[in-house]
Parts: sequence; C-alpha cells; structure tokens
Amino acid sequence: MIEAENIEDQNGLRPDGRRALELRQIRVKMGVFGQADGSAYIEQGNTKILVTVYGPHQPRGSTGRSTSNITKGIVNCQYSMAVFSLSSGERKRKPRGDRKSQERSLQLKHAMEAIIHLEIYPRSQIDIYVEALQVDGSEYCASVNAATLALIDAGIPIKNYAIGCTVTLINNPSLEDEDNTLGKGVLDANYVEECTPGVTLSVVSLPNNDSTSKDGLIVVAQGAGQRLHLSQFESLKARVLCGCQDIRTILDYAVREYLTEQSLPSLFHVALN
Amino acid sequence: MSKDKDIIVCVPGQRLCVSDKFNIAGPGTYEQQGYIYSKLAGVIKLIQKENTRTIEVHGITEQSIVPAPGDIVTAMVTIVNQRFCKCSIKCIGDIVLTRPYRGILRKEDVRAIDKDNIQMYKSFRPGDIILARVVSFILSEKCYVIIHIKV
Repeated sequence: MIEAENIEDQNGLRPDGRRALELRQIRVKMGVFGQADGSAYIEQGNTKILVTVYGPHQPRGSTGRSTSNITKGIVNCQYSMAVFSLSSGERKRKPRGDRKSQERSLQLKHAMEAIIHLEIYPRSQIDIYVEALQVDGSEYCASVNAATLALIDAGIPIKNYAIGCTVTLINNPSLEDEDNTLGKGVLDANYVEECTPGVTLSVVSLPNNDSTSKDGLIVVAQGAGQRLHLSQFESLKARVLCGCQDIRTILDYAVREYLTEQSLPSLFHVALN
Repeated sequence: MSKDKDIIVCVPGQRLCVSDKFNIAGPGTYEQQGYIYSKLAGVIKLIQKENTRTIEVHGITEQSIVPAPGDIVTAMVTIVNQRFCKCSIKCIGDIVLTRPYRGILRKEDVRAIDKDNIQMYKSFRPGDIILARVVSFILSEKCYVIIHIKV
C-alpha cells in the first residue's frame, strides 16, 4: 500500500518532484517495425506503449461481416496489456479480453474514427494494435498519442493529431489552504497519483496548432475514481487542454525530426519531380 | 506560402493556407472552415496553373488506394473453377498496391461474345496475369467482381 506521507507534497511539488502542470518526459520513436505498415513507440515517464498499424486492407473475419456501412472504412482496435506490464510486481493473468481492455479498445476506436478520413477507404479495414509494455498511469492517453504517431507513420490521412492527457484532482484537504495550484488538478498523473483519493479524467482532444486559441475539440473523456463536482470541471478542462497543447508540441517536433531524418532523400525525389 | 523550390515539411492538421478561388486543395489535404489543412506528414507540392494553385501533400509512403467500380486493374489468377476464377488484384492503373485485394471473375464475364462456349479451364490457369475492369463489390463474399479485358 502507498503510505500517507508519500502523497504529501513538499513545497507544492508532486511525489515525483514535478509541478502541477508539468508533464513527464516523453520519448518517441516512429517506424520501429518493418513488417507493419506503421508503428510507433512512446514512453511517458515509466509508461511504455507500442502501437502497430496495419492497413488499409480488405476486411477479414467477423469484423467485415457485421458491418452494414459500406461507404466508410472500418477501424479495428485491440488494446492489450502485457502480462509483465504492472509495476507492483504481480502478473496479469490475461493480456487482453478483460473488461478494462475491451473498454479501452472501444474508446481508442472512437478517438481514431474521429481523426481518420474513413470516407476515402470504402470497404476497407484499418487495424490498430496497442501493446502496453509497462504501465505507470495515463496509459490510455499514451496509447492514443502512440496510435496517432503510428497512423502518421503508416501514411494514413488524418485530420489532426489526437492527443490524450489526464488530469487528476488530488483530493487532499491539507493542500487547499497552503497551495492552490496542486488542488486544482495535476497533469499526466503517474500510478501513485492515480491511486490517490480523487478523480482522474482522461481526455482526448484535437488541439489547434495555432497558439492563439487555447481550446481544442474534445473527442473522448472518461472519468475514474470519485464523483466530480461540476464547478471544478471547467478549470480541469482548461488545464488538460493546456497539457494536450504541450504534448502536441512535443509530438509535432518528433514527427518533423523523423520526417527530415528518415526520408529526406525520397522527399527530395518527390519535390524535384 | 513560400516559393516552389523550397521543401516545406508539414504534419497532419497543419493549416497551410486560405482556401479560395486561387488556392485549391489537392490530394493529401482537406478543407475546413475556409482553410486548407494537411492530412499527411510529408512535403508540400504546389502546382501552378494560370489562375489557380493546387496544393498537394506527398507523404513518405504513397497512400494505398482502394479499387472502385470502373477501375482498370491488373490481377493474378489464383483459383480456377468451372464457374469462376478467383484473382488477387495487384495494381490499379499503374499504381502498385501495398497489399492485394480479392477479386472474382465469373464465367460470363470472360468475353463479350460467344458467352455460352466459354470454358474456364481452357481460358485461365493459376498464375496468369490478367487485365480487368472492376464492376462491383459483393458484400457477402467481400470481393470485387471484375470483367476480363482482352489485350
């Protein structure tokens, strides 16, 4: 169990020494697999996610049969957590198929359907396989970020980056009179912070790339933990969108670097034609 | 926007320019609320015409396309039957597909004349490369119906 003094903050800092609006270090690698159409690996602190994308291809199996909509493509998402992914030392019995993974798969599908231009792939299927290698909080949001990068690597046209970020309202009464910054919600919570009494919101948004308008379009939001009072929601939303904007900047930089490093000769070829 | 010679790298969701009579959204871009946005990560290519400028974005990997009715496709025969043969569609026009699509060529679609005397075993063998036109899509079998084109 987590002891009480671990959660207590020191000088307005969080247990791992971050400030309220500070993200964990994000490391990104795109194109990690050869045989998949697109792949990406992301580390957000100790949360490590690997995503591969196959397609678009002809639908196979039951996913194609059940569809009645033939004018649009199908997105098939599979979220699985590796049996060794849990940080507490215990092993997961099944990597996928449990309720949590199925729910994650469905929510990931909603997020991906919102950004992919499905109308240009009629009667086709796009497979997105997410593997959580190590779990340390915010794994759903990290997998959305990784899936976006994998789609970019696969060359599948998307409307915008889908960026996931969590905000956690740490419900600690001692904080509120001393320092109000932590009491209004912290970004990108790790596992210890997600376990604190309080509410965690996972938000996937499409942030605008111009810094003038701060808000973006929210696609998926899920809450976990206790109930949230509506009066606190607006400030949490503003914070989480700010976090999404920051993550977007990091991913944007990574994509541009990947483009220039990996494929500049071939891009020259296109540009000169 | 800058000049043609420059290589401009763009990322999905990046606003490229205003969409108006002069600037037209080409492949790899989309229009939203009067602006042109990129939907791929790649380089921008501008095609200048007299009064218009088409903005295209070319990705690292050419995006794969889906066969549509009317497309001329190159297919390889895989299974020959008395009534039909199954094919795997390899190319659409002159674009090579990244992964093949299934197609079916029925006996009555082999040629336009003398349809009664067609024998599938004498017309095709597995491994034959044929040129065909896509007609429709059967949902139950999830494959494209194609018509043979005599070369």
